[in-house]
Amino acid sequence: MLVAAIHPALFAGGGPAEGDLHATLQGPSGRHWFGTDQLGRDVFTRVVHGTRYSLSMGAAATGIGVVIAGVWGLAAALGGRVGDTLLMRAADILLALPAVLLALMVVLITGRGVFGVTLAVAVGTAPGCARVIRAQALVVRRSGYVSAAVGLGVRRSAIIVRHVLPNTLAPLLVLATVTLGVSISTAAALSYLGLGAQPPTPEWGAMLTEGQGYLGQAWWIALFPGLLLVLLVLTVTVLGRDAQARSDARSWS
Amino acid sequence: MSSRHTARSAGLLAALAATLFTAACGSGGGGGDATDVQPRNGGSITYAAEKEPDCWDPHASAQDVTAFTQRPIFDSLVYQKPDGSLEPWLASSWKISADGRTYTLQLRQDVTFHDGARFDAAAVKANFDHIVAKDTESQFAAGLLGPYTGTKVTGPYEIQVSFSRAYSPFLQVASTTFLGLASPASLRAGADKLCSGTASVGSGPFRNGRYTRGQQRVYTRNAAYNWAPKGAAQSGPARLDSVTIRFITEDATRVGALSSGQIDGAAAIPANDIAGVRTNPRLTEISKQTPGAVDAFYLNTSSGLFTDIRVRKAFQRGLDVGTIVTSVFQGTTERAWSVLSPTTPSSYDASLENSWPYDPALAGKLLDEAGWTGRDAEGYRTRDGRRLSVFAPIYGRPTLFSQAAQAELKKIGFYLDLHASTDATEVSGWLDDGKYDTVELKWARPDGDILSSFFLSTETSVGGGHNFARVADPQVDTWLKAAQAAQSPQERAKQYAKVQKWAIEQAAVVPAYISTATVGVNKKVHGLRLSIATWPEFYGAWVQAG
Repeated sequence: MLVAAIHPALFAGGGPAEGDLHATLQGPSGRHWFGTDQLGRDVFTRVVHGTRYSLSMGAAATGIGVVIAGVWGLAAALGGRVGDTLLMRAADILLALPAVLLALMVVLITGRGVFGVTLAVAVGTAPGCARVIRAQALVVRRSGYVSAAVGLGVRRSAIIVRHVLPNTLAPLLVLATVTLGVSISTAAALSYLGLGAQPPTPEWGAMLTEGQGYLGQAWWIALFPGLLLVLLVLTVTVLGRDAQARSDARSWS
Repeated sequence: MSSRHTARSAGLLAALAATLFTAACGSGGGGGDATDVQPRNGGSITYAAEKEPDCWDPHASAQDVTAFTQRPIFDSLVYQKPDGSLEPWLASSWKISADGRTYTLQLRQDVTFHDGARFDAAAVKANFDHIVAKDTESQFAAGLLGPYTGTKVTGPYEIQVSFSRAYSPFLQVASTTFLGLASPASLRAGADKLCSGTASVGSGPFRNGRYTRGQQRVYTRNAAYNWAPKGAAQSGPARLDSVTIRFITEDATRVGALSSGQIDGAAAIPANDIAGVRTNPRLTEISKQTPGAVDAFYLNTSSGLFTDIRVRKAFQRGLDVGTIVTSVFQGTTERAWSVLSPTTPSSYDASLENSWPYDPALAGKLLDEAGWTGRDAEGYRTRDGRRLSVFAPIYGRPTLFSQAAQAELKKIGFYLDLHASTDATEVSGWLDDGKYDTVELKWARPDGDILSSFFLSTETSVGGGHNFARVADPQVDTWLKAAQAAQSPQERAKQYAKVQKWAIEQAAVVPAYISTATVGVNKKVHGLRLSIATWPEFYGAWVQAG
């Protein structure tokens, strides 16, 4: 899938927006593996090209979200009692809203489109991640080596950069892989609602919307992007869990 | 003026909003056709509309759905039969002055509104005054009145409507729900209340019942009704005890509710569901081509790319309209050859059919002549390094048709930039400032005078008109005004034919498809017919027992 995202032409020759109006709504065949859609476009080609959008929107959203969460969580953990309370109560308020709802509200500000949705999903995932990072940073801050550094008179900023940050980073990466699956599906969900990629972009969520009206007549238009989306999210989640399990195992050793 | 302008722009945007393709061709007629069942009184039906009115006051709103959902409640002075001819309704007769500027109408004396108030000349004047009042912010009705100057009560049941110049479209205009007659007391409720849909008091065959915003509105029978026009399907009170209109915007849900028998009728059956409705033994389908302006691309002739007629012609001849329409609508909709729909009463110019066939070679030649000879990496034509890009603002989402047009236009080197926005202010800004190359829209109206709002030089977007080709041609103005002055339908048709021909020859417009209203109906419903404006008329409908 990664290869398909980077170089879709390897798998599918034609352009994702190229269609033959004389060959619309054709079922899966040797020529069109996944059939053709309402504009005669090859569904397989579109699904392959769509990998890029889903994967990159999910990855970018996760990246941005984790960075926001990192700053947020560290600031809370190291910002003293008042800062901690303020930042974590803010997170609590945002956590009261489901991530999708929060993302929907952010899209209203950022505007629709691939970029807007990516940012919205990032903001949607940030509060939850910020809590995890704060907890980790608190553990690190009270650890022996930080106490030792403080005892040695190392400057506060140096302690944060040299000791707290690196030791919080590893769990952050694990968290990112776990979040990735959720981000991909949230981004697709927003596109499905018409807020993300606009036609004729072959984004999976948008393809689901387009195919929905044809379910009775041409099931393949919506089925294949849906199937691939499920596969991608499952794969990413399993990989994320695996990374999490390994990191946990390491910390026990 | 500015608030009215904003209001009218909003109405226009509603029309521009991407509507899901609804289509079919041919058959008029209506409802179940079993001959062994007798009409009966009583019973009720539920009908699903694809939209809910934003504002329920037909004097204020420009929405077709407002006109449709208020028709059972509001009667008009004149009735336009499904064949387009006009006949008396609440006006029993009329006289037109020799100069065509004054209409004297005699009114029926036996009509009462739902609130018990008497229908008379003063009531009609109150309605006309309400339409043109500043506070009404009329998006459409006031515009329909054209060069209107005022209404005078000349007797208890006689009124005089005057215009600053001859205005022959008036009688057809008076037949629309937009000029529907409300009880004068109800008009004093204020704009908000009238818009909310709870204060609708007319004299029609049905009264306003319970309304739940976002769900449905109920209509109950007006047992006193006895003033239907001759051409209606029924006389006396309606047969149905009640009608419920539900608002189901999602196509699949609406069609599903119809096929499963939860509702008795549904509007706007999408092209890909028509076959399913036809083969369902419990259902039947009624369809009719919508009169008025067909769905078309209006090309901005006054600034930018399309000031060059060669580029306009290339766009017109290089777009394979026929193939796109057949494919997108799965054979249920016809392509258009004129800006007017063939069902527009006595005004369609049939001689335009097949007069501008698809010709990509000619389009290529014209673009070469105009200097668009280069090609960029994506295959689009260029001139001096600039891409041949056509800016097309869209309010809402691009339709399947416009996406297909985009893909097809790429073949001759045009980039159709479908610029979708949900920001109404942004879109009306582009339209008012002429900052676009093309606008695609349709506008239903069963009268050839629709051409005036699209091609009169004074009907600019800023003023609330639809002259999106930004035409300012004295000759065209003369033809359109001559048509408005002429009383004979033949004379008007002659003038309208000239405008239709001119629009094609000048490539000011690229007609695309004739939008078609397709309604699905359960066979137990009988006598449901489509009005001239292609909405179902519930008045004559009845439902089979059991």
